Amino acid sequence: MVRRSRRIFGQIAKEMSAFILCKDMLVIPPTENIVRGFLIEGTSEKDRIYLWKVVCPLHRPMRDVYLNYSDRISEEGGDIFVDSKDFRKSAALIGSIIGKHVDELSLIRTAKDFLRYIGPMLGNESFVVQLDLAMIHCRMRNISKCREILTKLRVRFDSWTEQMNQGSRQKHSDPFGDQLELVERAFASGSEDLIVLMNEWESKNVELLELGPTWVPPVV
Amino acid sequence: MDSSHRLCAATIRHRRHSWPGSRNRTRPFYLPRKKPQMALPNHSHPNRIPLFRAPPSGSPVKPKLDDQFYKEFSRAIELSKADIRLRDASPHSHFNSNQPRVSAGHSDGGQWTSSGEGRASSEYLGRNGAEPVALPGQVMSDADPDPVRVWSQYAQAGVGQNSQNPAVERTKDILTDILLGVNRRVAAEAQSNPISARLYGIFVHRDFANAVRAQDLPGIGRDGVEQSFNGLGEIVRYGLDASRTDIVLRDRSGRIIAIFDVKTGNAAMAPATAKRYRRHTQVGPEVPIIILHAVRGAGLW
Repeated sequence: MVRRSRRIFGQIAKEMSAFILCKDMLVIPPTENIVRGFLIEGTSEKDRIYLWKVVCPLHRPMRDVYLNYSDRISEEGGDIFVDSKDFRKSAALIGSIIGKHVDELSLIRTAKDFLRYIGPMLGNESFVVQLDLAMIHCRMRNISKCREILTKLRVRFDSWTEQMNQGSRQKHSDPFGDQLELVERAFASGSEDLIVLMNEWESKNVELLELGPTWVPPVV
Repeated sequence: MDSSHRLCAATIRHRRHSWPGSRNRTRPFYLPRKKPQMALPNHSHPNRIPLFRAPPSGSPVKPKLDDQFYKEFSRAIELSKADIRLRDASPHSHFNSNQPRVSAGHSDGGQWTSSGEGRASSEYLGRNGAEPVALPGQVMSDADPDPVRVWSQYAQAGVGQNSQNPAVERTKDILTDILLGVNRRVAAEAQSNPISARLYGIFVHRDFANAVRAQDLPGIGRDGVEQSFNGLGEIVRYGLDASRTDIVLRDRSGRIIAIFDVKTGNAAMAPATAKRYRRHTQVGPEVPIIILHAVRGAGLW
């Protein structure tokens, strides 16, 4: 899948200077706090793919780009099949689809842009979204808002963990809980400490996703 | 080799014959191992999932393993190229809002069904998945004693049954209907060209996902189909260490309000699996995990 993505996106990046191929993702430069681009996801059906319009903040540790703020895109809602024997043809098809989304993605660069972009999701109470929201507010120096979100999130997360551990003999450690704890600890010692931590995680993610050629390091 | 070794070997050989099944444990290291014989896998093992369906007993020529295998996979590839989306997106949708249904509040707890083959009767399956029984005032037709059936249930009894949410109920009805259409079609195709239960499940899942995507349903859209969640509640790409959901229903803000999982045959969702789904999607017990069962009729398995 990675090789196929690289071949298709590599072809597009060669022909369209608006993109840079980073690992197997087609990225719109420059990357600041948010990575924007396009991604191919394989499916269980041969040659059928999901094409993602990616918007992902880099401020949390990740193993791969996560797609909670991204959308699947296609040509008029149809399925996308790539031709594994003719990558040029596949690149042309995908290039025609992604072309329509570049302008919108170009507008999302900073934490403030991201907050505007996820506006419709503000009522979303999922833990990941709430943690991201708190961190975004911290980066924008909305300290009280960050504190408020983190406090509520802790209560809800503890309640959920309790429900999940009901009837289990051993306590289940949750990776999200570990991240939340790190964020809370940094925030408790000062919002600047949390921003330093976020910058540190961002640098690691830039390395992981090979975003170096597109990255604009934050001004400390 | 000295005599004590020979004696020892003879004793062990004797024990091996008198203790069937203990061959490997008793074989001393210095005895030459017999060259293993090439053999077909043991299809009769109770835990083994059959790779292909056995030919009917009256079949004149018994197909070879490889022939049958390649025939099925050629068919899979052929079907994958068909334009299913166009078929499913046609205005002749299977959905009929007047179709009779078992009420959500039935006394035996959260199991519903829709009718098979467009008949006027609904079927209700007991909690143990036993024989369908006619509901009061309804008569089951005996025209097709082994119909294609679709029914749904909650993954955990007594948990997550907030079916008061009309959006969840409405979506469940629509998905059940889509699955019924898909199941009927795949079963009809399988009747003329028999396939294994496993492959049947693959086709149903694939066609169902395609059909739901094509419908672009509220709260599901194209994104809510076949999504993978990692242990952090993040949506990630297929193939990573994550739980792959069949359908995720969300409210306007994007919060998950129900998870639907398709099962074919008598497959069930283990409580541990349901729990893993909840952990990975980070939803509490108030969010129902609804299993949509597609059964193609016992005679076809």
